[in-house]
Amino acid sequence: MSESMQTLEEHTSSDYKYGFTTDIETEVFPKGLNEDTIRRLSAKKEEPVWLLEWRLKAYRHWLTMEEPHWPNVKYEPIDYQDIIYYASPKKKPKYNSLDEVDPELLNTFEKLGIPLEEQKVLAGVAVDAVIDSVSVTTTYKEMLAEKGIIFCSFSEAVKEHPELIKKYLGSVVPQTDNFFAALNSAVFSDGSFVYIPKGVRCPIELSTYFRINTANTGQFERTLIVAEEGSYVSYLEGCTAPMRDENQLHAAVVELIALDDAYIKYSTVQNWYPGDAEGRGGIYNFVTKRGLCAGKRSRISWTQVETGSAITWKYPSCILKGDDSIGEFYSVAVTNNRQEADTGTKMIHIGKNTRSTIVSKGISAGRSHNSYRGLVKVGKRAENAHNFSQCDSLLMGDKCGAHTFPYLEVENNTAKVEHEATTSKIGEDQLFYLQQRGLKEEDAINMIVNGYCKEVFQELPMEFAAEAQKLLAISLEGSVG
Amino acid sequence: MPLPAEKASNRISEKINQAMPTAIASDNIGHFIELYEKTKAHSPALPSRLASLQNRAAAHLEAMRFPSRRDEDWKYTSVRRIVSQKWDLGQVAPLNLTQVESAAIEELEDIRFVFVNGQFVPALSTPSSQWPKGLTIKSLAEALEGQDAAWMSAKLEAHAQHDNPFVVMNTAFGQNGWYMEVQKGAIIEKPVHLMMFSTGEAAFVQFPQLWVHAQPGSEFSVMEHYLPKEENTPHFTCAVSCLRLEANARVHHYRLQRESEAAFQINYCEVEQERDSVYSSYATDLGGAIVRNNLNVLLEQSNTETHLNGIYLINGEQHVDNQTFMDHAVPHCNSNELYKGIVTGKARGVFNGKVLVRPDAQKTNAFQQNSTLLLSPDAVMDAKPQLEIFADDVRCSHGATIGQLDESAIFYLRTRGLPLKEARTLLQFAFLGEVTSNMPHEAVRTFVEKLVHDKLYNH
Amino acid sequence: MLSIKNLHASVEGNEILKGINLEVNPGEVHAIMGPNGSGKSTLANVLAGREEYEVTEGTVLYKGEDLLEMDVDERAHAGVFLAFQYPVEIPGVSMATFLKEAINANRRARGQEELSPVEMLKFIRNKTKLLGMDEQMLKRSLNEGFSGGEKKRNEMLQMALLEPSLAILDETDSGLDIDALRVVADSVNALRSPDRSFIIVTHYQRLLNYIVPDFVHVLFNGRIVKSGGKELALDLEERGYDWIKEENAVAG
Repeated sequence: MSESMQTLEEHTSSDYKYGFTTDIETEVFPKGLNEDTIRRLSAKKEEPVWLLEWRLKAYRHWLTMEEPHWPNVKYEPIDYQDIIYYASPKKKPKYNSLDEVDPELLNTFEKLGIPLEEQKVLAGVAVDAVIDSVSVTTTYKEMLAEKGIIFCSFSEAVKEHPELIKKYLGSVVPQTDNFFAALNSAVFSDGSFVYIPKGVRCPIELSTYFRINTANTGQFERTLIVAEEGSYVSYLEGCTAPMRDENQLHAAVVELIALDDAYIKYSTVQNWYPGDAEGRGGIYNFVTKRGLCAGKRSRISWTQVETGSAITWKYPSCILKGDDSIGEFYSVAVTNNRQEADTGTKMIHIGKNTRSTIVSKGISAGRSHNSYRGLVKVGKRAENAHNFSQCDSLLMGDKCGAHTFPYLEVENNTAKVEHEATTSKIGEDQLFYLQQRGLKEEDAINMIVNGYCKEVFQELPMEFAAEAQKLLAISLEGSVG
Repeated sequence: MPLPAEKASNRISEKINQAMPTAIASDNIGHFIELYEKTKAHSPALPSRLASLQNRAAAHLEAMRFPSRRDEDWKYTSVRRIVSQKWDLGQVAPLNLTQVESAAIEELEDIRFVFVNGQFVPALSTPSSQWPKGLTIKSLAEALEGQDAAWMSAKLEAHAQHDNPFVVMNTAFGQNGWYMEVQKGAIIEKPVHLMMFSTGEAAFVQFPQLWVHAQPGSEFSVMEHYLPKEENTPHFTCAVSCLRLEANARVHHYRLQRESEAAFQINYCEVEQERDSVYSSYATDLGGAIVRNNLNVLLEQSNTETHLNGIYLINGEQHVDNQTFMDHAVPHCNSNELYKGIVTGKARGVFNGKVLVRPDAQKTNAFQQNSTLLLSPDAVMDAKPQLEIFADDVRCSHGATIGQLDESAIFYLRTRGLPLKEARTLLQFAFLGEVTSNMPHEAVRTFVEKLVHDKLYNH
Repeated sequence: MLSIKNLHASVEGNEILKGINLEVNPGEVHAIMGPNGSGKSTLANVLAGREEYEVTEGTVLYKGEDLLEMDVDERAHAGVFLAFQYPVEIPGVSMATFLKEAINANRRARGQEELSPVEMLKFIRNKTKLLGMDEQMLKRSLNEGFSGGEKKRNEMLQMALLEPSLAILDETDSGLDIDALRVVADSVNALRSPDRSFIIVTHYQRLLNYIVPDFVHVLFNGRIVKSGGKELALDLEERGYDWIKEENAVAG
């Protein structure tokens, strides 16, 4: 092994910066899943009967399904009876201001680098922070309410806006869609709900920080965003999780609906605990994210920076049903040590003159495996569909793998579909050039990696882009920071 | 993977007294097993080694099922229409030298092997006295009995237990397999030309097998040529070919398929390359109702070159599925793949190209491009280029495009006086010309280009 | 400034440099010429610290310190600059970002204060203009899509910005038209000073019409086989390298 290869490895083996747990007393269901668990959960949340039935339908269907194993990932079998399906902070809080919030909790957010106070004042970001399963604090609510924007926890939405939930829940990801979506539909605990009324441009970036806290708690968020005609919203999702030995399952469902001329921008920075260098612990991240461009000229844009989780399996997708609708997917996925990621997107062109763009940048280091899997489907009636896909893989070290599995299915002869992919290593030539100009090796690597990811980073909102760059540096360069 | 079905039939298993799992053949497999039994009963006894091998293959086949579209590898191609029919083996039919001559490739000096309905016709083929020095050609049975075919024998054993039922089936039936060995350092200038004629009203199935063993430093060209049948009745070709290139050998491998649009083909080709060897494949598919080609290249030693060229030009209700697999198992190898096609009418094209770079295969250069013109409202193309990379010091890329003719180019040509149809045809011809221009034998290139040209004009 | 003694270096086990001796004093310009494959580029890369080249024997002292012990970036901090024969392309890294980072990294290492964004911009703009380069270029990715001439100009820009003590130009003149060649020559001449030295590796004499060297060395088969003044370059231009090869074939 060359010397620079060794340095590369030193740089790529880093410790998880956010590994700590918070001591908040929690109320916890016993382990295991059956219809009673679901009834209890639903009762606990004071849900209407129709929702309980909806959950039970999902559960009964789930029982008939098999866990899928086609992704290019390997993991220990999951015992679904060994998971806690509900846990909530015991001091059930309802706050008007941050002063009332458990200081321990606030401290947690501070350690995560997202002090609420500062965010409130400086960044203009409304934060709906979810600790485990129950939403504990929501800010900016009133300001948003003035514009008719609804931004609240999912449970609250079920109580306050049942007609909207009933109309849209499961309309993009049916409760029988896939194994993990069915599981989520049966047991989802909480999440976020966003509704942007007709013609309203949401004035701030909406943001949610999720956090898995109680050991052995499966986390099953449900997010639903509805953008009415001519509206706009930018939604940010960020995740960190504390260090644990047991693997933790995370099976979220995100549904987006964009009506005529609406634009939803959904950005994710995900750095759940990836497990240690030997692959012990870490999050299983099996997520179903799908957006429906239901209206004419609607647009849904997914941007993700994925650096965490032991196993990642997600394909944020767009169904381009409205004529002239646009779907976008920008992704940076970093894997290190023993991490495995199988991620990508699906662009389903149904309406006329639909456009989609896919830019995927994979970085593999250590002994990790990073796969891009994407489907571009142009239906029979999708006249003039255009797609462009660019999938690049960067390899750091000689024990990792990068894989590209694009599926192009075209049934209309007016379509134009282009896919390009490259795989290369961080060039010794590039490193030498930068070092000859006086840059330290780790700065040189950082510069090359950030350059490589630039097309994706520039899609992120400013404050997120900076955080993403930092995360990348942490994931890949150990001692830095 | 065997699937349980309703009817049990363990006849062959019992015959060869081998403990088989209680797996049961599905109906469709059953048809082929029946055919196998029938054939064995009526054909002359084979040498024991081959007979035993074929029996074992048949026994294995009996425990299998045919793939369905639920199988990832067959996601876009259904074989139901092929395997749900009851097939008979083809019979030799009259064909005269004039017919062969008129079907020959102009100005190509070749070593001819003529087959009619799957049966070898020595009288119409180049007599063995005229085979060039340095080239040994034997029948499958002959070669298997000899001492020098350890490689083939091992391969056959593997094929008899293969997880692809069509490979197993070909091994079981394996009539008229040919083994061609190019001696060390021999430069065989004339290509071996396998002319596969089919004729007559009767539907039939054939199982061709081709073995090429190029010893160190040798050069060889071979062409599998499937000619069109006049009658519009179906036949099914289930072919296997295996090529082994030893150090520094060079092999050009043509496959020209221009069968009628009632023909079915399932091809499986394996190539193994030792160091410094160069393998080039030129696959052209113009005919066929349902055609499926698997081409697997394994690079066993360093510094090899591989060129995979493919053309598919299909219309009507044709379905052509190309699956290529470049297995880079060792460092310092180069592969270059170019598949281009034009799909019109209600035809469907499929391309699934996989490039695997194994952990030790550093300094690999692998390029792959698949481009398709989709020229009618009902035409469909599915492309799935895959890169699986486990080594870091590599340069790999793939590209896939599905699109239409360039309108501005058409406009340009029309301003120069070309009628619309001519302009479109010219551009299509040029599009495929990028692939034909890679064919090294001028006579073959001219011949293929003429076929492409004719098909484009007769749309 | 630089003292090379009996330097041997190999690549993948093949010995390329077979005992180089060279003394470069402050303020001097040395031209190193020689036929293809003589080891010219190897020498340039060994001095800059490229890893593929293994030094098997000999010493290199730079300002009295052991150059071979220093890391690539340390050599840069100490004032060794290599103008690459083939400058690499780095997608997504803008010229502006790269130059800023490089200048400040060197300043930090030399104990100087980092330049403020305003000072930085002014500094870079000035030099860009002096080299007749378009400012738009600063927004482009480093060397990506640059023409051959643009890449070489870019090398000269970096040399001007980093103000090295020892600049090594590795076939910077190859493939350049006369205008670009003049830019290279002007850049070197503008930087010539009593405390700065240059090693100009070139295959052709043409560049030396514009940069007058103090010494010319001929490298052949891994050794310096002839040294002289600027007139040696003219000699080589007239007679080619064959007589050198012949002389050494007899001797060797």
